[in-house]
Amino acid sequence: MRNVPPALMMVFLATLVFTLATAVDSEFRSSTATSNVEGAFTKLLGDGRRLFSGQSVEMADVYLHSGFYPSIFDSREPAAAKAIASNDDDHTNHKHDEQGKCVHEEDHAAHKHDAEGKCVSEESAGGHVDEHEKAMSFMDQTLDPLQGFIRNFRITQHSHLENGEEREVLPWLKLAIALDPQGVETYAVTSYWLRKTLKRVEDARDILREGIRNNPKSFELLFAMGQVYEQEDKDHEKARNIWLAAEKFWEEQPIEAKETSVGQYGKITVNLARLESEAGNLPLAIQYFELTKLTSLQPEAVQKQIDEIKARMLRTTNSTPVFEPAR
Amino acid sequence: MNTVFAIAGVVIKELYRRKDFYVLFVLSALITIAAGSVNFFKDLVMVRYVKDICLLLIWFSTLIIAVITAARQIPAEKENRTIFPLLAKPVSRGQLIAGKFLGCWLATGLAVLVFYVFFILVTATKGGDWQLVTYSKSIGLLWLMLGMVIAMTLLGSVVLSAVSSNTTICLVVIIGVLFIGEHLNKIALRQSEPVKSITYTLYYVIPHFEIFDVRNLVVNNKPMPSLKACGLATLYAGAYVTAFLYCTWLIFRRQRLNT
Repeated sequence: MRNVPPALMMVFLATLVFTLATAVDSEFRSSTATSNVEGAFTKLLGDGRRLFSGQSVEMADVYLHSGFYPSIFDSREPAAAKAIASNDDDHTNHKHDEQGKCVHEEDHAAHKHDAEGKCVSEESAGGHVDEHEKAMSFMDQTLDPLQGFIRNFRITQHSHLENGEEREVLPWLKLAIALDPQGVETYAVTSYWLRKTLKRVEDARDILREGIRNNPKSFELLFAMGQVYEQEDKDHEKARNIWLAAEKFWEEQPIEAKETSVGQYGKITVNLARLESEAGNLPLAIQYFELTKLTSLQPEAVQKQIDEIKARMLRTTNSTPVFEPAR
Repeated sequence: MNTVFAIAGVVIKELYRRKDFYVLFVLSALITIAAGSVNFFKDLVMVRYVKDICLLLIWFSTLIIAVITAARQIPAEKENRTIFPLLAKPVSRGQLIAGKFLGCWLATGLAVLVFYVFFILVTATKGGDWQLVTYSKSIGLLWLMLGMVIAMTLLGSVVLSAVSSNTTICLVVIIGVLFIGEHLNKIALRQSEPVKSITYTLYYVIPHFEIFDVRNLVVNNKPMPSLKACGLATLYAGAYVTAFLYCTWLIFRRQRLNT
């Protein structure tokens, strides 16, 4: 060994290492094929990454509020939903007439209405905003001089990002998805902000596709995907098929899971009902409305829709001439 | 005064001889560049998260630099026995403390400037605006806060013998104040007596480092505090710095040096 020149020894060792690496690498890849797909966060943090996912969504919410956000020491409504997650399309797509009546019945089941079709929690469309303003009024007048001084250095006005600046929330949402690929709601929220405020429909569709790939039986994501096809592409046929798949997956759940997601089922059925109603399949529309009624918080409002369709059916039947009267 | 500046000059030279600043700067730069180079939905103008991360790293790094630099000044002089020729110059103990404080403060000020130049460049490349007034106020407030930190750490260095224990205690206190200092009054209200009164007293007594944290305003492009508020903050910081340095001098002037 003493006679072997160091350079030759180095070459020999390098060759040995390279050869072993090629052998070990293939073995390693085959044994960890699944974990590679899950990404770096899984390797680094394991299941603990899910804990940080919620934090990341909260950061997105902080950004959406332009930094005006209550700390854990501030009193705030414990049940107050994050503004970032209030992504129901009924919020923006839900149209009201001058009387506050819904003119578009897309998400009746999720949205609370009285028998007249009026929103019960909100007197007008501005009511949504008032409720949120109330939840965010954690910074009251203070008599504490030090606190008053500190507020000179803090954001004290509640405002939301607008004019395309909403994109600033996306990095945190994307991080939340990377941390918890099974967090179904984060995909839906991300797709909502991409589609509704940034008008990036294809990106919204891609993020939903990614969500469905990671959660193949998620009826929430299928519902959101159906909305993209229905509202953006006006492809009612595709939307119907996707919502039917969503309904099927909802039905396949255990009974306990169904109980916690009846609202989502209502959204699916009411949208299917509307599609069938628009397509003229009125008996089928009634069937879906009947299903919606079972889960709705305002069954009277849904019944009103059913009655209207029945009246429409009757009018259609009456107006059809049975025979031509003789002249 | 020349003596104080001479001592301060030595401290500044020490900062750029040591590796702490370079390591923290390179680490901060690498993390910021890595975060900034991530492409989210092919959108290149998302800038707030980069500003957020970069400012957090600047705060963290400059805080570490300030505490470590200040904590080792007097103990190192004692350990190397260079304090004896220094005090024989003649330099009074008060001048020594003032010089050490000024040196540490100016040195961290330089570090803050370098970090902020990097921050402004990164923000500009991501499409951010050149908000020079905002950045100036932000730099000034951070520097004032670091002044308080340095003065407090110098006090710790004459009370606690080991540099490591002083550094650890100071960092725990500072980070604790940064997180809950502002909310101690709210916490006090939820307590029963006598904890309530003690917590409330603490709320008014502790140095509120978090006042100077205007990162949220910078990140969210909100208007910075008025000049009057900044002036009051300067007085606030000045009062604490004076109090800490005075306490340091009170302890140090009668302290035995041959430990």
